[in-house]
Amino acid sequence: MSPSSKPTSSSGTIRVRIRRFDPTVDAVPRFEQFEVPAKPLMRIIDVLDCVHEDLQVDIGYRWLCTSKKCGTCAVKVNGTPKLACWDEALPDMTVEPIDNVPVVRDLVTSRAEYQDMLARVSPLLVRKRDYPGFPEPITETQFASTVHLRDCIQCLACQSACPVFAQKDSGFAGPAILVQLSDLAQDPRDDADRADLADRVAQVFKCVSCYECERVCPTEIPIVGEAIEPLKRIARRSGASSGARRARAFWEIARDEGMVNGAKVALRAGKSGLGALALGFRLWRRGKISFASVFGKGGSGSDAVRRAHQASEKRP
Amino acid sequence: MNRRYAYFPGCSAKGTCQELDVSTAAVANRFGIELSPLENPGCTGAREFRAISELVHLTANGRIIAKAERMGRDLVVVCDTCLLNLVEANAKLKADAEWRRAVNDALSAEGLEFKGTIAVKHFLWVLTDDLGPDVLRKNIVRPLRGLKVAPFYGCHIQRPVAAHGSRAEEKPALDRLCELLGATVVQYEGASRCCGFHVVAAEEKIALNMSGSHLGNAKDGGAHCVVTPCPLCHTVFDAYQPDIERAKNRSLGLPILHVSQMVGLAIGLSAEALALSRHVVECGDMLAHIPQASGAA
Amino acid sequence: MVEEVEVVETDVLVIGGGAAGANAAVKAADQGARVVLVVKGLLGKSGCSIFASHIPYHDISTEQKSRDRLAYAIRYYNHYLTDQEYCKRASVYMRTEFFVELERLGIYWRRDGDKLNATAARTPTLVAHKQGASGVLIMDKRRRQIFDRAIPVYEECAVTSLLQDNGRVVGATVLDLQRGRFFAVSAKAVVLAAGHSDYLSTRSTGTREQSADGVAMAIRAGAEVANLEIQWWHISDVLAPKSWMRYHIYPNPLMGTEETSRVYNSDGEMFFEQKTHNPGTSAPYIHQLRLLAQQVKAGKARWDGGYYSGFTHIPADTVLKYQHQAKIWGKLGLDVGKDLLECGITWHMRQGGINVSTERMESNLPGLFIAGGLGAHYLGGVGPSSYDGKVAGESAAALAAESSKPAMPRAMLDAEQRRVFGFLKADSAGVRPMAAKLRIRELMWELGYVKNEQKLNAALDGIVAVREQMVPKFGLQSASRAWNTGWMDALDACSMIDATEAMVRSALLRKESRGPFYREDYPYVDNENWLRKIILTRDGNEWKSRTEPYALPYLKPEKSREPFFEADF
Repeated sequence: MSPSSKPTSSSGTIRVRIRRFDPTVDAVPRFEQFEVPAKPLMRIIDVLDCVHEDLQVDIGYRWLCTSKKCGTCAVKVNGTPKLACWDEALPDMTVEPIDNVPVVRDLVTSRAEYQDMLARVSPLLVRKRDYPGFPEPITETQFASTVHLRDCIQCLACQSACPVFAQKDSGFAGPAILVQLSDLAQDPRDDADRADLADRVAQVFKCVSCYECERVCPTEIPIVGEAIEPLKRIARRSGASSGARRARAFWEIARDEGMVNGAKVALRAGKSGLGALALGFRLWRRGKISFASVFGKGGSGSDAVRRAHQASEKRP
Repeated sequence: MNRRYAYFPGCSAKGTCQELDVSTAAVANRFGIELSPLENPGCTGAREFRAISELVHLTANGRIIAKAERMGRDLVVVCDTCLLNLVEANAKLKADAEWRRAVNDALSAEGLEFKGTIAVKHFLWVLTDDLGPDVLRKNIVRPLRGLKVAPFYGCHIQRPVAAHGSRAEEKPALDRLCELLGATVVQYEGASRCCGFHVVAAEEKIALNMSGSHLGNAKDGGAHCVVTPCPLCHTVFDAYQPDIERAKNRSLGLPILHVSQMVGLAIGLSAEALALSRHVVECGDMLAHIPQASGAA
Repeated sequence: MVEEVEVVETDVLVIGGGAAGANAAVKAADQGARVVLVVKGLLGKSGCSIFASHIPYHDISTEQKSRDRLAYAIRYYNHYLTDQEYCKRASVYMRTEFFVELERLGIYWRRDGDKLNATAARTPTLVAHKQGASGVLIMDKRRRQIFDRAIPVYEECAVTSLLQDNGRVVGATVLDLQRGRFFAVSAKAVVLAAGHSDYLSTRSTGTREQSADGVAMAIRAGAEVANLEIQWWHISDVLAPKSWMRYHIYPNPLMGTEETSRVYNSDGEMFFEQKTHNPGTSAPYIHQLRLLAQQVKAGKARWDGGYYSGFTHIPADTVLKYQHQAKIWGKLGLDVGKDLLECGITWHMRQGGINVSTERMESNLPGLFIAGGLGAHYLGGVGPSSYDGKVAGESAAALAAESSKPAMPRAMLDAEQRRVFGFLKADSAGVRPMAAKLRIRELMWELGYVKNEQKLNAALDGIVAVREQMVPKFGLQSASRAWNTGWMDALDACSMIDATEAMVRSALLRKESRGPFYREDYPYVDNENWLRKIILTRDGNEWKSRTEPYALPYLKPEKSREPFFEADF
């Protein structure tokens, strides 16, 4: 047999614009452009290494494991968060720090806020039952639902892309925290009140389900479906937040009537006040809602779906 | 040739966005597309069923698909979120025999069975793919020349990639449709981002911040209107626009069109037929940018 | 310029945030000590502990099994240059505490159904991650333990020197790399756990912040270093892209199978497969190296490429199921079932290190404890390093409990501050410190695996030239204190110079070949004369050396002398 490999010839140069910003000196960020020789299979970090080692420019960046384990080299490339050590270098690229975190210098961002939030959601398993000894009687099936969550390297690419986390005063902990919290919350050995942590501290119901986090996740974790929705499932019944109340109202109406009316959900979830009245009036004036649609019964629904609801209530 | 589909309008098109249902029917009618509504279809669950249980999510959506299968037709939807729920459930139930059995056990009482024989499509795809650009082009009687349109895609027609595959690149398709109809596409930051609908009822500020920034960018890009394939995005952008204007402290006055309304305008349907008057944001100024429309309407 | 320096006071200072340092911090805190942890990178993210993949899970329930376990550690991993009593204690720790503690903390050791998913091979291993990697999850748990105990952690802070009062180690000087703040930690006991994976060669598994600071600062403080000449080289590491040289194509059996990767020369002839060429041992790396050396000699491979490794002989599904590295094929657009990857050798880790008395993990300097791969007592690894961390952390806490507050050696502190800030000057005409780092790596790469006296002397001259001709001319691009990579490089370069000089001097002294250490001018394993520890110390500019024999209570080599290429360890 003859060994095969991807062609290792590659020519030309890579043009890279790096955002430079030293908060101790600079008033505003600037972009500096460099050209480095293109080499076969180059990753983004190879280009940064070239700028630092060969051109000997003191750009600030992180290089730790360079093998998709430490999750500290995430940067934005042409606007999208990428893992510098994992993703291919582009012939023409603009490299910036990831969003929604303070910049230390150039591409280096602070992880302190993330770690503080992680500490707040009780990041270790809480055992109230005795540990039965090694190996404890657990099975692969019990951990199947979280197998992808354990791929998380906490690179914070998802937090960079999250439109809710981007709003500083939103109170939303962000997808990376929810992945960690969900892994614990779904662990059959864990006895902490993860429902309360998810609802009140991490504020999971503020997730808009936009899937931006999944789009940029370098380890391809189905964050919405396998981390966030299971957390909502756990927090829905007891949650006191407006999001949890709304989820409960939606669920009740959907279960009882089959179809759902948004205004009715809002009303049952306790939405009131002048803003809601103004909105209601606005919609009513254009024929978008009517008295009957809000206060009448929407429909009869389906027995099959109702039974599924009942079964789910028994088996959370 | 008549194209026949099973049709699931969803709660918005039957409730707060009836103009979507009306305009979809009008456009379908013009192209000889037969859309047969399902009887008592229920709800795909928005973002909630999947957060209740996989069983509820798959039963509710499997049931809707099974109803379409009984008609022997592909299923057409007009809402991004319904689309995602149905596409994901369809794929899951086709691939996973165990779930299929569980869902079919539940559905048997209603005489339904999920067999996995049909596709789920957005009405946009029916127009761009099934009907195709040539047929569309032939039917244009009022090219939208002069109209600057900001396409807004909505999340669930593009993401997650696992559900939509190559469809994840929906952005160019809607851009192409606008261009085909003669409109100028406004490129702006936010076109494929999130409108915030799924938290607007509980966390209005978060949602309006997001939608406000997209609408602001579209406006800054010179848009006369926004077009969207999703009634949920429409609701945030249109019904909440006065609130957005207040939150962002700027006037926008951006009419929000459903895809079917935009197509309808280009193929000569009247503002009445497209129920443009049911929008919160008036469409009058926008129509004035379509030269042929101002006289014909 | 000497500025007022803040002094952080504590009982135990732990330097290093890998498996050894993190566990030392936890265990010292659990003894009631006040602990401060200083990490050059990020706790549980930098260093090599996160690279741990399959972790040996040896059965030691019978005399024979226990002996097999010791053979693995003593013969194949340390070539008899280890403390055998320590190996025994560490093996008991691994079996009875390591996995247990981590499982209790919440690590899910993979099951196959309801049974532990251990490899069926001669060396059973456990993994925590679905595709074979474990280190990321283990270190994440340690990190959380430390946050949970509210132990103060100074991340991205480089220790630049050990502080001493009358010979006793009483703390360290620290440079905060993010902000450029220089401060000192005053401690009753210090645990140094700076690791064994150095980026000292052009191709290296160690990452850039791993500039052998631990070895260098210990040498400067007068600590004894031992067997520094022995480095492990791995042959099955990805050639390109360059940054992926630390992706390793595992030579051991794939999880759940007896299958192993194969290595082919440039003619497509397979020259290494563990189950064919090395079935009796569980340490294929040494054997691989010798076989590659023969291929290079025959012109059928180069040290940096021209040979290939992969899994084309087994179904792709088998690889994809448990091997995290299978993903790299996909990312490079290759098919793991059809394509091979071109490889090069890398300097994987240092076997020698600081001379340690393993009962309490003490160095020869009072107050200084050593844990993990930095020590010369054992090769390293996430399990033994965790054991070291426990012993060192508890010993340091015990010493701290019986010690009073140490004096702060002001003169030393001021001198170190002057040294560190001496590099912080912008000078467009200066030598960039990175150039010195590249030169050191180049020298060690050229020295490589095949050593002889002439090459060693040339390397020594080269290192001295870097120290004398480049360092005094260092000039940075900017004098900013915020994450100034040039400034970091200047400090790194000094460590690298001191450490590599000691390595080359130690290599000149060992007149035999052993394990991954090959001198073509002494191509035999000489157990009669060289089953000895080579110990170096530096006093000012004077190097002193001595050797010590090893006690061999459990295992002895069969032959007093055998040709290097015929030995199996």
